[in-house]
Amino acid sequence: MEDILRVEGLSTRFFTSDAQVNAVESVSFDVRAGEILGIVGESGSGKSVTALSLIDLVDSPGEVTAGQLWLRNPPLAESYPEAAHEDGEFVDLRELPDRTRRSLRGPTFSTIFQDPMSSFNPSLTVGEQIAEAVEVQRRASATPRSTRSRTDGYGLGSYLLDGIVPGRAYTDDASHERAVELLEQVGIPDPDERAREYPHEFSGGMLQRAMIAQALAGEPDVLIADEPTTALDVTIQAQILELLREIQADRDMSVVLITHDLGVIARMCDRVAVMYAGEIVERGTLGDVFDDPVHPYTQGLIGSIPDLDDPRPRLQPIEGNVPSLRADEMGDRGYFADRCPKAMEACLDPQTERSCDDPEHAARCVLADDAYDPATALPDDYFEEGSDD
Amino acid sequence: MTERDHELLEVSELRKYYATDDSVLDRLLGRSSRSVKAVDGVSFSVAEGETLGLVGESGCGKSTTGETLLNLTEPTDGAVRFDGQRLTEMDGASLSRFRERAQIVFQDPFSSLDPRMTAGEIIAEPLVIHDREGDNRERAKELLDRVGLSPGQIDRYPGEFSGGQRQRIGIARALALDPEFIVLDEPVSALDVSVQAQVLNLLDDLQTEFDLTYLFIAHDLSVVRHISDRVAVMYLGEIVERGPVESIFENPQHPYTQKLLESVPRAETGERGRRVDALRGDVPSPRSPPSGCRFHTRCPYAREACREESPESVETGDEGQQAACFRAVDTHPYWRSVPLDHADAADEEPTASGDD
Repeated sequence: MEDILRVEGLSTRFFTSDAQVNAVESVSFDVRAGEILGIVGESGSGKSVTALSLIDLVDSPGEVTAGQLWLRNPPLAESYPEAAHEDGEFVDLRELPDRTRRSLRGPTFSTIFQDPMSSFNPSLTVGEQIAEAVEVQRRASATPRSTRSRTDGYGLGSYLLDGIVPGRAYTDDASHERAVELLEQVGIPDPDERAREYPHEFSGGMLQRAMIAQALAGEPDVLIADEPTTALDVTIQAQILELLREIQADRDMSVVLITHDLGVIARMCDRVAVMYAGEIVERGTLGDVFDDPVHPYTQGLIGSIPDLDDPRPRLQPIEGNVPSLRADEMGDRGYFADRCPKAMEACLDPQTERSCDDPEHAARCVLADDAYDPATALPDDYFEEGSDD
Repeated sequence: MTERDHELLEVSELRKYYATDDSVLDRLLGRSSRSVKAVDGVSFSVAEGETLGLVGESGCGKSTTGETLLNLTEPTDGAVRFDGQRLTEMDGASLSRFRERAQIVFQDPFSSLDPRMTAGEIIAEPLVIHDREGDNRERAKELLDRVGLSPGQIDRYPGEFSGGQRQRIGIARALALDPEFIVLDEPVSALDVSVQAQVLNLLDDLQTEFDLTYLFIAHDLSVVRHISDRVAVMYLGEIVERGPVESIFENPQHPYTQKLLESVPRAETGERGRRVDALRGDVPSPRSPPSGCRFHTRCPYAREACREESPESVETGDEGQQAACFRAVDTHPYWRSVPLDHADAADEEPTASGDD
């Protein structure tokens, strides 16, 4: 499968008044056409910030500080030679003008978020909000360089009226019809009627469907789903996952699925990247990561979950807590070393990614290439000095 | 563990209704109030030393059940017996004694600890309330150490601890009075998986060490399977099925339990190919629950009979397993009634009803 997005060395940092937080630290991965790529990690591992960095939604005090985001788009590469890769196929999203980059939201990238209740505007009907997304796309494709047409008779009068009746002049019957059609495609019964209802009249599962409909308005190439089922009950989660897989297959979209739930990953994904403390510590196919994990963190994560079908008498958790990610507390060493049951002297160096024999399967760990050597193992209390927890 | 020699807690027909839209005028006119039936006739028992898992989706009434049986909220109806004694008949002294013997750990480690008290004060508070003699601070240090925190952290505030550490403080507080029974209300659902596993192991160890009896309330079925000896499954304020943990997970009898188990994504590579027939629709509002069997609006096996009559719990399948479903009774008129429109599951008649 050809890759449509290549992320190389992406770093995102937050500069707060008292500390610098390295939320994402030289992350590299690629997204291929028509695949579902899973990014899994615990809270604070940087998985959501990675997704936001792709679509330029990292807010101040956060900032993408390094890396290239190569998108396969030959026409754009031709229009912006300064941002183009030498092969002429890819453009670096970070080098594009803001307006051009913004116009990619919708037709190239679309996002669904965790909490559908807070992602919709409570004072507009659901149909209206989806129609708005449809209309944005229609106007953007009519005048590709801008997302909002200024020549469409949008004068002061319309502006003032819009203040009183939000969304009034923006959508029309055609976009409403399309909105109803989209609601129907995501399995909402009586879409015509439901389109006229407000978000609070929807259940959590139905609203998540509506958000998926909104995301589909621009016919995206890549759908970024950030914890799409975390707020939902397990029977509703099963419905939404099924729906996501259906629309992914129908449209041959790529999906980047971000979640903390290894079960969701196993149900949905072709390939997986495991994140810890802002880094991708292991990536590979689902089979590589689940059946043959190399990184002790991946192994620990899998050992931590109770198995529904085969109960174990005792779980094998990872000791300790997730680190704070403050630059002044992290230092240079391998981030996981202080919790790792197999920490060795070699782990104290800043580490580069190492591949296991298979180039598709890589881990940021010395164990990917070398066997564990108890002779150089760090003493148990090595990291306890200077911290009392 | 399956020996059931002594029932520590017995709950029968417990009900908790919350009245809504009930104005003074309504009361004067004697209008019946429209209430939310959060818990509607729940019966179960917990034997000494065992863990009963109470599982269900959000809004099914599992947390309300936990709070009501500890008398943290007054039950509308029903009886709770703790060690043979009825809760509603306890006087001040015996109620205070009950409050020492039964404790609770809450879900959210962020809102259940007072941010202005130190860890030591939080853990020692039950000792102060119940006038325990001895050195409270020493006892708090001992408890901190027991739940895997350093006694040196006794003067820190909750804000200085991570979520998992705070949950450990909540557990230490619950242990302070040497209780026999602890209600664990979603104690690990706010935690990351690696920390969740630490806390589950800790709960396991404490149960063995102090002979504790647990009521473990959770929505995560894998966690419930891991920790429970017996399980009760709730749907819309009622228990639809209960029994030993293996029976519920290996041989579920109620269609809701079956669908719930089918819905859980397994963290293994074969998961992609597994066929899941997701349960359709949403949970109806507990304000106006469906007639008859409350699950009939979503049940793939629903028939006319399910709409008219509410099923009783009957012994079924394995020993000690009970399900509230007509399908567990081979001779029930259910089998001769007409399937509802949405019911589409391939269905075979029970062998016993034959061709009569």
